[in-house]
Amino acid sequence: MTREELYVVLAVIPVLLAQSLYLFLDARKREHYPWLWGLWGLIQAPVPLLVYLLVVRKVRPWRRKPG
Amino acid sequence: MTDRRSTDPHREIRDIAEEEVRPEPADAGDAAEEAETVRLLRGALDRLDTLAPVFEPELHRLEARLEEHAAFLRRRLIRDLALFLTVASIVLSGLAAVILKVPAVFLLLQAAALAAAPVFIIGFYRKKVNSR
Repeated sequence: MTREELYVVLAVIPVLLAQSLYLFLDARKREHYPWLWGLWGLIQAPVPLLVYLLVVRKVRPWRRKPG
Repeated sequence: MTDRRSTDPHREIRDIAEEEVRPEPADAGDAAEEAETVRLLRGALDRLDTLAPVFEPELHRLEARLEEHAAFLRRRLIRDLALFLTVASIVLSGLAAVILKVPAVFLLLQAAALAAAPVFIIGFYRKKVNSR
């Protein structure tokens, strides 16, 4: 294991953990499969977060707000 | 006209009784008798009010129940978080091991996780449409 690989792993782990914690807690609050989102958020970033924002939080940045 | 949406059922009964025995212009001669009936009815209903036990929720008991529920929710959150962090540490250690030892498996896992995105999106939208 090279030093660079170690740095990459050490940098990626907090990102994945933060993402999955956010997904788990928010999905738990909304009662929307918290374990599914939390575990998916542990494997990859940032696709689970984007899908969560689109599907569960229904964030639509391309839509203009009325008024 | 009185408000029928009043929360006091006795008052509602009283209002309805009063409306029903209200003298019509043609029966003006019986007005005194009807007024007496209403007075008797009101008296009886007032006595009923005093007889029936009125349930008044005690504030401190309600507050205690709320606090108890809040404590229960906090305990459950801590338990869930502890469980999730335990699982997360196992998954992340496994992931780190896979990255370093078998990068091919890691790439396969990433491809599977990426392929799961459209499956989730379609699945959730289908469920939403079916529930309508």
